[in-house]
Amino acid sequence: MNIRIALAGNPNSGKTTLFNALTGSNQYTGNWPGVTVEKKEGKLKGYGKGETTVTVVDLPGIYSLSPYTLEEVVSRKYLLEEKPEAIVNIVDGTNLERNLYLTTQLKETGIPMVTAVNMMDLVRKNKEELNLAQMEKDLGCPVVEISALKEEGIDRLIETAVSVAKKAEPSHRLVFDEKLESVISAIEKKLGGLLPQNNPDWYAIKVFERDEKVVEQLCLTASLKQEIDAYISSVEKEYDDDSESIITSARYHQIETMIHDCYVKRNRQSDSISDRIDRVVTNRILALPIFALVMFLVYYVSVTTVGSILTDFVNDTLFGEWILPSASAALESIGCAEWLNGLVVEGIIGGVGAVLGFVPQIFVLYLFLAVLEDCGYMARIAFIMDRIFRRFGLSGKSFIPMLIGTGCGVPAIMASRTIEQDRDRRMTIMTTTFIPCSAKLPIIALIAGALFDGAAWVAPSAYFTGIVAIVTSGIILKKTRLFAGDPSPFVMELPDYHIPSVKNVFHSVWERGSSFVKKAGTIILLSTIIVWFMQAFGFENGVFTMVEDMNNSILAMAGNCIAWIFTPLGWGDWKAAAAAVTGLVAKENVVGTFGVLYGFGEVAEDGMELWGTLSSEFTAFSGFSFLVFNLLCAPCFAAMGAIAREMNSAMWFWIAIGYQTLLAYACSLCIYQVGTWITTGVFTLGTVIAGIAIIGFIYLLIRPERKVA
Amino acid sequence: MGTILVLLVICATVVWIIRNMINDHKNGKSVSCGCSCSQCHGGCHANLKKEIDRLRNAG
Repeated sequence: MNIRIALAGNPNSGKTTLFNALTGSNQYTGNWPGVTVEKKEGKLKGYGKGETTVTVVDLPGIYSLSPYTLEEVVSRKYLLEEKPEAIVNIVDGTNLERNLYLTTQLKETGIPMVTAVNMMDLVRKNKEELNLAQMEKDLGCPVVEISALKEEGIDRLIETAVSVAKKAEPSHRLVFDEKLESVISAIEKKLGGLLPQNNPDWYAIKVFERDEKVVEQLCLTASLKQEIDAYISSVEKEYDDDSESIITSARYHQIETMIHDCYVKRNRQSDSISDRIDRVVTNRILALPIFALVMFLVYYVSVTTVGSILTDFVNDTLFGEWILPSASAALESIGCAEWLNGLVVEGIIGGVGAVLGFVPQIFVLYLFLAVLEDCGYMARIAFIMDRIFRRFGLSGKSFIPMLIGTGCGVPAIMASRTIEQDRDRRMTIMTTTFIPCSAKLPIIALIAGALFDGAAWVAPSAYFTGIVAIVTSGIILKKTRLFAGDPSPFVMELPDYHIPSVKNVFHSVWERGSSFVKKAGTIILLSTIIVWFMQAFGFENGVFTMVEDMNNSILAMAGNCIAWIFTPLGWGDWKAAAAAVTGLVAKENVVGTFGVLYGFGEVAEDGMELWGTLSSEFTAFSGFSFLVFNLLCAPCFAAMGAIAREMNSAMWFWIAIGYQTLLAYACSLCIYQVGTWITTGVFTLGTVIAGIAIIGFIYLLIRPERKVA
Repeated sequence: MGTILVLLVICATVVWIIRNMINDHKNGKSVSCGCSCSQCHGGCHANLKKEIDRLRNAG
């Protein structure tokens, strides 16, 4: 026998944390809404095998069962069509009133239910009291207190949920006032056999609410529809409100009664610590400078100071002094052919090593980001950014994918699904990969270290370049016909600040860091082998052979075919062009390719370092132009695939890729041309084109907004 | 002998990586995506397009 238990609750009520506790899985949790976009399944601990197996389904967080958002559609469809044996309704004990609204609706579905009051540790800490026995009586279903984060009360919840599911007693909805009850039964009577037998009340209430999807699903005849409509209108007239609001008010009336019965709220004499911190951190004037300072410190410490010390050790000592010479000597001692020695040392170890060298910086960066996420600060950033984004016609919802995008662009693109309006969703997909992901960090660190001598501003500037690109893109795109219109509303709860959980932080850092290492050992390793072969073989004296001069290699030939495109950007050399192209497979490949081409493998032999050789090929401006191009241009193939899937249209996919590449090219052109002109006085056709691009950019930013009817 | 041995090791590694990548792809995981699947909200699942289409048609 397999029992399915659905986890339903408000966003940020701790569903995914509870899901992890119930199933022992490691799903990603975050303290902002939209972390779970689609349902996830797992086996309940202790019920994975045997006679009774229990599958737990984590549904996206929702505030109601109305079909307004994609999350609501996913959850509602699952509950009504798949009909799980039980619902575990997760209620945030610190926000009882708002959370109980969904509870009243879940009760209407008729599915057996158990209510889990989460965050009871915080309720007690706030010296608030909750009479669970009374609540159980009022709700008419078992109520269990838990703390998903501390894994308290989980065993009792499992036991109760399984028993409720086995008993299969349908839950009964809460009763409205007499008038509304008579209206609902009248609708039920009129619809008769059209209503499903297991939960006719739910459908009758939805018909009263004029829920278009339910009306459509019931295939009502025109005359019946008209009859019911006239009936609803008369009730609306009597209540002087629309039918949906009448039901909403009735539900809140039930909730008020319940809260009055079972909840004793502490009369707060003073603001909580979170309130006091928020007064500074989300202050209208200070919020943005504080955010800028925090992110500056995060990138500065991870890339330039602590991270750099560790990276230097990995590059110079671990690879430079230990691994490379030992590998080379070992291969020579067993009589390995010179070319194969080159492939292993210069190709594989040089290429993969160049990428792996940045692992310490990545771990340090993600440690900081995980702490900021877990303590609740990042949720505030979404709130702060919403205030700023809204001014430019963007929604704060667009910032959530960007927060996720610091790890990887693929889940960030997927997270854009929470945005209901197509135009805003598309715009977010187009811009979210501007935020540097983990794969771009080695490029940032390489340029910062090799060309700017580890200057403090370079790494943070990469992050802020991403944010500025997103905001300015938003302003420009919102003024076009394709994206004009009001931004989507953004509602989110700000969790209280708390000391980050060591488990959560290390889990997050390990997940992100280890996948980076795994990627270096798979796709990057294969890529470096291909790059090495392409740079080692070519045509010399009309014969295809292993080349002595790398400029005669296949890679040089291919690179030279496209290098001219990048000449106006200051890096028209075939090596840089080839690195940028290999970056499309995975962005780490940019550094991996440099590792192969500039001879990371040479470190041990002649003391020449990759970074030193690289710096001789770039000026400060061409280096920064190269960095900006790789940050903003089309992302890796995996992210492009996600864009294609989410856009669900070839035209929109190409618009997104085209926009990203065009913006990257224009920005890099302006940086190199204007920078070179100012510092050296060299004025070329490229400078003129850059000037025109800047004027065009300013015009697109300040031109009047398009009025939408 | 050394050359053959090293070549064999490299070939075996390459085959192993490609086999893993094919298996990952068959299991709905992305070949080049840097995120782990637990973070990915199912973004790499092969049947995702179907799921999105189904939801869009429903919504």
